[in-house]
Amino acid sequence: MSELRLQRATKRFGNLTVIEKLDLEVHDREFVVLVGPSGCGKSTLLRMIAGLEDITDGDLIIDGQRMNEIPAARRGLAMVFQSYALYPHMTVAQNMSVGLRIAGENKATIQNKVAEAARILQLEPMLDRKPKALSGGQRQRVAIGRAIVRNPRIFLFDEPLSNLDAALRLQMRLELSKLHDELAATMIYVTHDQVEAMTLADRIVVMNAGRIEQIGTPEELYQRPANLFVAGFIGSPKMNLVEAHSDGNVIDSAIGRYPIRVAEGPVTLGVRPEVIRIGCQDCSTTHSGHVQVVERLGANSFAYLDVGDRTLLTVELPGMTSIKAGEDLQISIPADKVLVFGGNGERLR
Amino acid sequence: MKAQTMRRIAPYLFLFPSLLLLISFVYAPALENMVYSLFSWSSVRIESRFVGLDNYRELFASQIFWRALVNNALYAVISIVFQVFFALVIAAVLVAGVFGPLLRNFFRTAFFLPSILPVTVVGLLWQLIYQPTIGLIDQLLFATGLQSLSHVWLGEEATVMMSVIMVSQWQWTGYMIVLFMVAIQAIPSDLYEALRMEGASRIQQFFYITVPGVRESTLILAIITIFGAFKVFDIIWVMTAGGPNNASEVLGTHMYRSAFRNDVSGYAAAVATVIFFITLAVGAVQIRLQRQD
Ligand SMILES: Nc1ncnc2c1ncn2[C@@H]1O[C@H](COP(=O)(O)OP(=O)(O)O)[C@@H](O)[C@H]1O
Ligand SMILES: [Mg+2]
Repeated sequence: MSELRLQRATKRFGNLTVIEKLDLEVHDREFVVLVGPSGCGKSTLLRMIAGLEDITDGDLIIDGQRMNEIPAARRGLAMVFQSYALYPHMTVAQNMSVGLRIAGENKATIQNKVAEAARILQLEPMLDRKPKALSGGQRQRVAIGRAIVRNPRIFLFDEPLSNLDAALRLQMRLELSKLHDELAATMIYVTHDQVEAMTLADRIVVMNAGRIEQIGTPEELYQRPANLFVAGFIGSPKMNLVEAHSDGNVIDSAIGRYPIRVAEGPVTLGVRPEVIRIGCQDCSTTHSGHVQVVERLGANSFAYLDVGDRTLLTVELPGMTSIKAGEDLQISIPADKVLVFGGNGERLR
Repeated sequence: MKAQTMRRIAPYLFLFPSLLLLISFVYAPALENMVYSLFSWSSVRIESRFVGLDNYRELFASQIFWRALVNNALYAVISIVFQVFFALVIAAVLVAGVFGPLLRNFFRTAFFLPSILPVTVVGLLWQLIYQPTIGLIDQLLFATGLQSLSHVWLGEEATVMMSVIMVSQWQWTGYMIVLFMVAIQAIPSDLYEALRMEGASRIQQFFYITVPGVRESTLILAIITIFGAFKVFDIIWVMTAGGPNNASEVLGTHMYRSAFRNDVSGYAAAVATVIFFITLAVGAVQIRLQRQD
């Protein structure tokens, strides 16, 4: 059992408040991803959990025990750093076993644990090498191996894949997913990359400026973002956000009139690129746009449509589309797929 | 074609002036010195007499030479202890943030300050501090009831060499602390954080990360310290001139006195040659050690 709770956790550096009264629960065996733009306080939050930063205010509770004053080493956590933080003069095996050696474990135990971690991570042929002689992906694995041998209650990851190239990142993402299942471990993972968050997480915590914007499963965040920030952050390409006006009964916008009843005033409509249809299917909401750019990715394509009123709409199309820039296109948007955000950015519908 | 030739010889053109200066003022005199050491000659007479290795025989039979060599070695060992080992530990403590930034900067500046003083000033200052009875050290000993430990620090054969050596430590340890601080600060801080999470104490962090992290710098600073110890002249000349009774003689003062006081220039050249080969050996060790990486 490993559960973690943060209650009104606050972190200040001098006068600068980086984390403000933050509440978070992480359940046993859960893979929780903290995601948000650079500088929003993700690393700071993770370091507060790890014990590398003091908690200015509020409580950190792990398995029912308040941890604020417990030193990092005795919280039962292991952290994988963005830089890997491998000890350059130690071999792979020594890197993985240093914590156990410090703890005074006996040689046989250490050897078994290192061998086990090396097997899981396919590092067996490299145990005697120094980090300098490893590729980026291999170093990454050693850093993870170092965490595994400690058999921690919770794994902490701070942007572990951001120093890898795209292909390797994808591979390591899959391996991390597998590892989570294989170890049945609780993991807290920090990234600024929403694709990593969507693919890895049981639950995603979207952070912005030291606060939590929304917590939910990837599907919840994608389908029902709580506000404009989450709507714009989750999903690639971004959700289309269109300025509109509600008169109380009908919303009027550059992409049509929708009989959606929300309070009168300015609103923002949110439409995912893949819900937009080409042609006249539900012709009450048909609209036309001028194709400015087409990107063909192979399995799908994206067209960027000027629908007037200085609004550019991203539309997802199947396959290698034959639609070309310069064409005019009829589109329709099913009213039940349109999200509505109020003047304060909160989702109304 | 012409441009290519030009490009090939251009580097040599740049190197040539400094090479010429090096040869005329360093390598040629060093060689010439070795030749001089085979002659008996004086700087005030023109004729000189070839004596083969006589100067070296005299040298190796001289008690003063051996005492000077031992003093240089003592100087080297104690300098390594203070300016490498202690300096590294103190630098690590300062960088580790045991003290706040204000106190750390104060210590760093305070330690560094002696190194910017001229050696002559330092020598005179410490002569006053070492004064019997009225000097600061004896005053402190009297004030604390430890007068039995009092000595004529610079006047007794037993204490003079250590007294001078400690002045050098006082002057240079702070300088080395600052150099080590720079080297330690270049070590990524997340190495320390990772090891801290593994339960390492500060002392373990020092041995697992700091020491291997500054290995290169330590090697170079240790070699420089040893070079300095075998070439030392100024502080000793200012404070004791090798006395009393040659008790604080080092190779540098022995050579200087032979050449310019006793006017046995061939003998002095032999001392210089010995110093040259000692430092050459130290340099060779350094190159060997660095190549091992
Ligand atoms: N030690 C520190 N002292 C002062 N400010 C800090 C410190 N560490 C982080 N910050 C500030 O806290 C904010 C959040 O930083 P960080 O947690 O690293 O963001 P993220 O990991 O989300 O990119 C940033 O504005 C950063 O400048
Ligand atoms: Mg960060």
